[in-house]
Amino acid sequence: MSVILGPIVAAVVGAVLAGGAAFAVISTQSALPPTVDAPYVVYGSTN
Amino acid sequence: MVIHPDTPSVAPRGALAGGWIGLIVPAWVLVLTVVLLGPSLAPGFVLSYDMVFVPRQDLLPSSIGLGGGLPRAVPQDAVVAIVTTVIDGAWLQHAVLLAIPILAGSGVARLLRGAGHGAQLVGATLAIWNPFVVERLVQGHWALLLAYAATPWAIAAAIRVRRNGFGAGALIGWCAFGALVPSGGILVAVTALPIAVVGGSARAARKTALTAAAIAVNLPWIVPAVVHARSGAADDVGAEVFALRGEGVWGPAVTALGGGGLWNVGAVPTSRGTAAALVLTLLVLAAAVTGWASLRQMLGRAAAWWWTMIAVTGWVMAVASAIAPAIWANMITTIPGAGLARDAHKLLAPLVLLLAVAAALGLSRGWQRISDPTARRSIIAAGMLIPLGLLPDAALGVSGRLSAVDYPAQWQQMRQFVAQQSDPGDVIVLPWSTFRDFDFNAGRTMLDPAPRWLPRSSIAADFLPVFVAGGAGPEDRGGDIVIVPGDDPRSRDVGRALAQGRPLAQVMADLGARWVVVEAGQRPEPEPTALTGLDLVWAEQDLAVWKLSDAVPIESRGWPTGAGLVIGIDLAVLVGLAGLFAGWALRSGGRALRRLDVRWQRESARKAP
Repeated sequence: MSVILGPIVAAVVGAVLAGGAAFAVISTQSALPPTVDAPYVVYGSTN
Repeated sequence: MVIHPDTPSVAPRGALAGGWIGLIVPAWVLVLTVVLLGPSLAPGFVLSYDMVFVPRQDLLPSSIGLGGGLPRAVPQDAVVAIVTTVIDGAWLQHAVLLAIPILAGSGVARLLRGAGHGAQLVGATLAIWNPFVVERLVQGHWALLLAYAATPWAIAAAIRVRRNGFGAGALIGWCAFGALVPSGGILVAVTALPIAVVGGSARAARKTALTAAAIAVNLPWIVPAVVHARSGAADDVGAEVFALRGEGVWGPAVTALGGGGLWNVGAVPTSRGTAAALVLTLLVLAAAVTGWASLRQMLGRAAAWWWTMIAVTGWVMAVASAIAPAIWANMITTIPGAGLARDAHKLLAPLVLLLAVAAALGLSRGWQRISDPTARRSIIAAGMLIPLGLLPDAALGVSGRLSAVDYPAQWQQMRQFVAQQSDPGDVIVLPWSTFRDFDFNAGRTMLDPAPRWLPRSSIAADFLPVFVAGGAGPEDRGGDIVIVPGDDPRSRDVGRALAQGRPLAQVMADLGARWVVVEAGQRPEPEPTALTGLDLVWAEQDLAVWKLSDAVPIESRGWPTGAGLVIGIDLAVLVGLAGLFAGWALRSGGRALRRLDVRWQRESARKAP
């Protein structure tokens, strides 16, 4: 059981990291939130 | 085996062992720190929302809570002002940014010292790589994060005090470290102090002295808040706007369990709205539930229960802000001092740290049942890497949201010009809005840096405009923009004059102001009438300084009520902490010298014929 556990965990971790890296690359393209059209620079947005 | 923070580090047999392995935890903490901060570590300033550093910040009355507003950044601004007299603000900011993950990770590893390197690695990862740290970093709440990072160290010190009476100095030091801002001071003191002083083996007099000292290091913000009380300290608009926010369809309660839920969507990584966030939360929670018994064993029953109670209370309050906003707003506005909890996400700090420690212990229980060393190591690696994979956009300065930039040269020139002027008077800063989105900072939202650049007291806008979709309601809400009012009376007067279209020259004398700094290109552009009657005395690219005629006498602003008390308290705390530090340094130096002496004597004996 524990002999195959290592490769299984490694595969899961690898998949999570690969998926995460791909997501992060895409996310970087839209890192800044869109500007709110307001008379002031807003502190933030709740939606 | 009974394990506790004072147990020497032992790796689980067959998992991580060996002489050099002791370096793996600090090395991993360092790696995570560098990957998290990424472009923030380049030369320059990281300017994001409330995080504004400048090369040199002056010590002004507002730095110690004697300005017009509530002491929200006190004594943070005073400490920055003092430190930037000797080192550049950019270096200080880099030190602060590095200290947050390094202290948080190594602090949790310190608490897990008796549980082995594997647990330390997983615990450090969870303490650094979580939405609480990431969202607060982007929001710029660095002083709160320093308090977050100090908390595990304070808990370790409190447990030492409880067990054998030692560690009181360290606990006071960590309480002081956390007390750069009110919420940080409360976080460290409330989480750690009761562990040391309720029950335990320390003498009653020692406990009393410890409690008094922990309160004393918080006096620099408590005293100005009390003696310089203003109206409008907390309002229901702010309580609603800054309530916890659910980050996915799973709602605020689950979001909060994961450490997320900051009100500002602009500071939240995109992945927090995906299933990855839910999976990470459930994995950490399951591991933490499994590890809680070990946590109780490691920290002791009283410490574990107290920490858990504080964490759960914080979670309940944070969730209440989201699901029962009317009750929450009523509580915030009616209970004295409750306004400090207006930004409810802050209340999750004890929970996030508790889950990091308990989850590491839970995972550790799991791998200790596995005999194959390779399988054990792969589970430890999973505990270290899966949080990164499920919150991937935290990497590299939260996917570029945090990045170092340089101020244009005219900011330094403007500061020098104002510093050279001998005429007294404060400075009004325009445009009349609290935040900026400069091109040199890639359009990131940041607090107006002018009040920190200026070597004089300033009057700047202090209201907080927040975009709330469908937020139409009370008359002070303009469409979807909710205005959370500020609390500086002089700021209110300037805002009123500008709204009425009156020239600032008509009100400046009464407000004790002679100068106006205008940052062109920022919203809203000041009306031309605002500067009528003022002389343009300096201009460089986007910055200009206007002056009220020397012929107009301005109101001299004396020291506010209670100034002597505030300054006296600050000096006393400073002297006390200096004494504490000197005592610690002397003791540590003495121990190091004794160790060297013993080693030298052994060497001499070995070489002797």
